[in-house]
Amino acid sequence: MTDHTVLLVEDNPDDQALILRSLKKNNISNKVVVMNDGVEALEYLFSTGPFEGEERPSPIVILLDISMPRLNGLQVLERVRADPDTKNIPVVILTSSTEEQDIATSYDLGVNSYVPKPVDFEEFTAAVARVGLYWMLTNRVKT
Amino acid sequence: MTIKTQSQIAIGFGLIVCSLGIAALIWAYSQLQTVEAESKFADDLNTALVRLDRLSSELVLRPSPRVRYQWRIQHKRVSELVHRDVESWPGMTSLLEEPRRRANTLGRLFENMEKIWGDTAKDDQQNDEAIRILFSGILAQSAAMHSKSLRVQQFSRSDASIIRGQVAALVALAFLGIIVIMFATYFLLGRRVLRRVLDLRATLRRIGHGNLEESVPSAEADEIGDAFRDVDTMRLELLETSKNLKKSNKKLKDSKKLLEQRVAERTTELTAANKELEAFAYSVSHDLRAPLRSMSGFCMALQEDYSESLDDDARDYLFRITRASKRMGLLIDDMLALSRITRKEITRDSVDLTVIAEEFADTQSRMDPERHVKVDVAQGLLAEGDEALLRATMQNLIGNAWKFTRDKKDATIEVGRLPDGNPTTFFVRDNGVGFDMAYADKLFAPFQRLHSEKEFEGTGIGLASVARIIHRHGGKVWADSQINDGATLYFTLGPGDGTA
Repeated sequence: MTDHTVLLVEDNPDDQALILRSLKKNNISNKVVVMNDGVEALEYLFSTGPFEGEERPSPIVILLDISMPRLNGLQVLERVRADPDTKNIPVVILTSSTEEQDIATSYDLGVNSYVPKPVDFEEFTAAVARVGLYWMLTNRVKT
Repeated sequence: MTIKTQSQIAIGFGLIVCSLGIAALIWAYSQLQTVEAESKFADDLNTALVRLDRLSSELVLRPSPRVRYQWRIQHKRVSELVHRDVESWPGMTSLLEEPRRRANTLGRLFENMEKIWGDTAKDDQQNDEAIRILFSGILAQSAAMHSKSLRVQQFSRSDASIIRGQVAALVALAFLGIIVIMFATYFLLGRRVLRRVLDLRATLRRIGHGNLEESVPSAEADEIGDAFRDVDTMRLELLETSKNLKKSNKKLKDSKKLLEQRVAERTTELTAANKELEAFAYSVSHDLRAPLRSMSGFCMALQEDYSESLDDDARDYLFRITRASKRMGLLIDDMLALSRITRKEITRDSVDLTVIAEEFADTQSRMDPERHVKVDVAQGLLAEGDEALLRATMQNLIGNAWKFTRDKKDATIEVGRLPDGNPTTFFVRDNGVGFDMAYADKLFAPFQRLHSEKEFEGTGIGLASVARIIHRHGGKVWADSQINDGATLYFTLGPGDGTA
């Protein structure tokens, strides 16, 4: 499990740093690939654009923020679920939004888990740790 | 011709006919009187002649002086009768001609007889013969008169029946006349008038049902015609009034519609503004929180990952930064909550403050198990207001009481209601640290605090929120306190209904 990559799609650099730190602190040693927005993430997943021709196995989990420039998280989720190569990858939405509409749409689009980012930093760290421990160490994916 | 004139004519005719009738009746009566007299005369004559006849027979049989005297009297009577003036009874005169002659004859015969009886010197046989001839003459005359008198009686009777017939005919005629007048009055006057009155009624009914367009046929120049014309005038005025009414009604409706439109527009604007405000507040708080998280996050990270490289001062600075950002987070939350309270719709339900207070006290003691606070909640504290907002109020007030009794060993919080008063005054009392009444006016202002952050944590928003909630319910909130001797927060939830 530890050799599978984790795809983190997050535009806020501070949140990126804090998430990575939290995972590291909890001894989650998976390689974390960070994409700054949805467009980049999809190019990475489907090996298009700057990632043209790169062959690699699917990430073990996609940590997805919703509010991002260009393509937002829900649109990314939709595309991921539409493609047979990627539709089975677990997606965890990690977002500051607690809007009922966002939650509903996410589940409609087939998200595996919806985790609001706590405003308190300590809770944020703990939440990320829990997510990481579960999805990266406990959960099994299709190989 | 006016109806009045027509009625007067009718009455005139009626009077004429009645007068004629009365005249006829009077005439009939006099005729009947005449006939009666005639009958009586005939009867009297008949009776007198019967008597004379009988006396004549007696005379022949026994010509005593008494009988002769009686015969003479009777004959006188008969003569009086037959010689009566019967000019008033036409036909009677000719009938009495014969009886008159015979009466005269009878008188002469009697005189002759008297002479013979007086003359006793004459020869009896001659006398007897003469007397016999006289007697037979008297008898004959008497009988003839009698039979004539019967004719007279017959005559008078037929006269009577003729008169009676005439009277009956006259009475019938009179009645007929009256009936004719009555019918004529009815058909010529009454029925026409009635029909026109019915027309008038129908017209009025039509108008009464709202038909003001049809003009009213104006009839002749009499009272009913006048009435029709008056009704038409009334109709025109009603029409005018109704038109004016319709106009002003329409104006009212139009302005009402306009107002409603405006209200709808305003409501839409308000709702939109509220939504915008909500979205704004939400995004502001989110956008403000994100950097806060970064700030406190990296501070913590520094503290955790580089604690060996940090000296006390550095650690202290980092701690202050973290604390400051936590405080900012609280302020953002409180401001968001306060703005939400202002915008939320108030629903008026029956809210049990006792239950809310007891639940919250329970929650507080669970979250803060080291503290032993005696919470005394009066039973049956029912209030009319918004459940969510009142819950927030009680939580605020009890939370404050909990906080400010922290330093008291025998901390007591009391929740209740003042005994009398309309509206009901609720209170939350504690025996905590209290506050200086000199600054009481600042108590409910947002972000104003009467204790330093070092003494007691807090943003100063709590009571401002409570005040907002109470004011939105139309109530009042105030406080009373002694330093170190606790504080009491009073509030009402409405203006009351004027009854005590």
